[in-house]
Amino acid sequence: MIAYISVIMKGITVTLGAWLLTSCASLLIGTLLGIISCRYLGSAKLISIIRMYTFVAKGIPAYVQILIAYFIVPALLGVNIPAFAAACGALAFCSSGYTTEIMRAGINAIPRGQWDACATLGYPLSAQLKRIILPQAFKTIAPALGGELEQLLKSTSLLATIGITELTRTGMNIISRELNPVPVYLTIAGLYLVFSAMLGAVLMYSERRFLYGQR
Amino acid sequence: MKVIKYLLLAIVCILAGSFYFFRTKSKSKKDGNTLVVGIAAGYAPWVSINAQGDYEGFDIDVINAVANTMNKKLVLQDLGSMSALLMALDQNKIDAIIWGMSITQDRLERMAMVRYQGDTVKSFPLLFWGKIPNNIITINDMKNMTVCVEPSSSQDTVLSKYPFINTMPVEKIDDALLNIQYGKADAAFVEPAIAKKFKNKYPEIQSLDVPLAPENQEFGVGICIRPADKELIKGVQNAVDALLQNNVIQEFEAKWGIGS
Amino acid sequence: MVNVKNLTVSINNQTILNDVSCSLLPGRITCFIGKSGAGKTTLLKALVDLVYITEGEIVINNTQLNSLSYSKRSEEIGYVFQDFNLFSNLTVLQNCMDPLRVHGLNVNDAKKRALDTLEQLGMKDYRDKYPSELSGGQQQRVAIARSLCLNPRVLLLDEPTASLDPINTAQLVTILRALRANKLIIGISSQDMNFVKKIFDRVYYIEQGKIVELCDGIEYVNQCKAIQQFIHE
Repeated sequence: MIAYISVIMKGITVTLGAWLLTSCASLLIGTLLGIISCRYLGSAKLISIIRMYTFVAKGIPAYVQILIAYFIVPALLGVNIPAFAAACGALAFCSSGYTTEIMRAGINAIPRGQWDACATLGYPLSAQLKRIILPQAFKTIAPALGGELEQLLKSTSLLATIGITELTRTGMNIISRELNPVPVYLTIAGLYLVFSAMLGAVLMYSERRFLYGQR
Repeated sequence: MKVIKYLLLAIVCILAGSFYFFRTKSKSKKDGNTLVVGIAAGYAPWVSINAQGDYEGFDIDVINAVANTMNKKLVLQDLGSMSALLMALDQNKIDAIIWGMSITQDRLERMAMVRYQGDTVKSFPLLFWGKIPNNIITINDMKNMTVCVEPSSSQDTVLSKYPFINTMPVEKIDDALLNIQYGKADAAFVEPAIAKKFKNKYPEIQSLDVPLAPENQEFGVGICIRPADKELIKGVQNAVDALLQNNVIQEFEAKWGIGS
Repeated sequence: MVNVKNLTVSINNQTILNDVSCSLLPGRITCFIGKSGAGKTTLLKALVDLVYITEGEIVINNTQLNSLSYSKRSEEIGYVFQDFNLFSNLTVLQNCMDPLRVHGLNVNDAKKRALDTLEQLGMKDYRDKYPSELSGGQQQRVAIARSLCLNPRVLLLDEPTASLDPINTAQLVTILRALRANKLIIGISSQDMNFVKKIFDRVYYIEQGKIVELCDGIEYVNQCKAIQQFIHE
């Protein structure tokens, strides 16, 4: 196993890089769509369009979405999409279905009075969202968002579907060469646990910051 | 709302710009002097990634030699799985596949396969951990027993003819080793080359040969090419013939412990 | 002065306010009384554009309300909600500073103005507390401070005593009298007649979305039959 340290490090880099990219994209898209489809701002037509988006994003398995993104979309559009971009794009699309629902629920949970107070105090919409609504929404949805980001970390193993050598595939490659599945699987599991623990620590810190005077 | 609309517009522009940036004609990566070959690492000794992060294995040595013989620049594309390899070949993303693919009647109906290694296989091995149970003489004695097999493989097709056997699909054939070692399955049904690899590492593995009907027999392993690519088929065939004649492939077999 | 002319508000095809005309005067506290659902809160909300006005106009010191930007409107009219609606993610000081920062004041000036206002309302010592750590009366004072920080000419309070005990109600009366002395235009909707009796200069009685009676001074209250009937119900 020690001999394979450099390929393992490369696998870790690919996994963490993919996770960072997909989680940023998922959070950005989810926040945007969650905002524009919330009860206070969204029209009925817009909300149903976004509901359709989340239905498709959540309804198709991520594995299938990756294959579609890498094989079918380029064929239809006549473009060449690199494997890493296709896989990360597909994962981000799939995850954004969940983050949109989470964000929308969090924003809808903010009492109407907060929006009204912002309006009577002359806040423009951007200030309402940035200073009051989103910080309060994050307090409610932080655990759910954290769960989705943790799930996304493990979903990066699906990148192996189209040949990207992330951490899990690196382990499988080592097993095929050394035929030592138990230590390899345990090592891979341990590494994922380390990443999850780091993410968990960040989430716990964020949740504590959102207590706003409650103990 | 205006800010959000502008942000959405910006995202759409970035995506459209990315498509423009990535747009290429589907064949632009490939030209007359390049041979793009699909592989899937993680199947030692055929194809795997070594400790330095480079692709190596019997298939890698063979395809490098084929490309050199044809005076073409080799481009390897790791696609991770059989389904991805076949899709890429269909879509003209790659010129050929080299992945220790057994030549079967079924596959020959769908694509051209240039044999580069192996003889006709008339039986597949059933692997047992430790002693083969006394009452098992042939596969027909294995009623209600559980056997690991890789889905959609040649072994899977053969096993479907024995409905009294419980099939346990394993995504990676190396996982079959875990299953028989820890008693999750009674046996594993694998390629002869895989059986040889397992037995070399673990002498406690015993095997039982299962004879194959003519339609299930394999005729070695081959490089897969689209049937319409007649020129490429001819070029690869000539290269492989030359390498076999000069004992190059045989040397690779000895190097990687493949074959009898 | 605030003039409301022929105001009609319909929500979901239901007429909440029907052709209402009234006025709020500087240095005087105008109360709107009536039963639950009469339209008192809707009238106040119409003045801060929280409900859609079907017909009619609102004029503040000769300026049409709908010609003002939302930013300017908030600097003219302050609104204190029945349930205060303080920003739970901000401290008391931040609740008062943040609107000033949004309106373009720099940090130092915003902080100074916020602290001065909080001190006037006796809440300076609580500046680092969050709203969830305050009592109802304290939250209300912070809500009033938050509105006053923008130096509005009009202050509207919706059912201000709904969640207050008698001691806090007495403190509120003191605060409102002090604001009245500073010539602020104050409008209050309330069902609490004990509180109204202590504080009003003018009182409108609203019933089923219409102004039924105006009592334009404490000296006339015995002559206002509908109001008398409401008080003694």
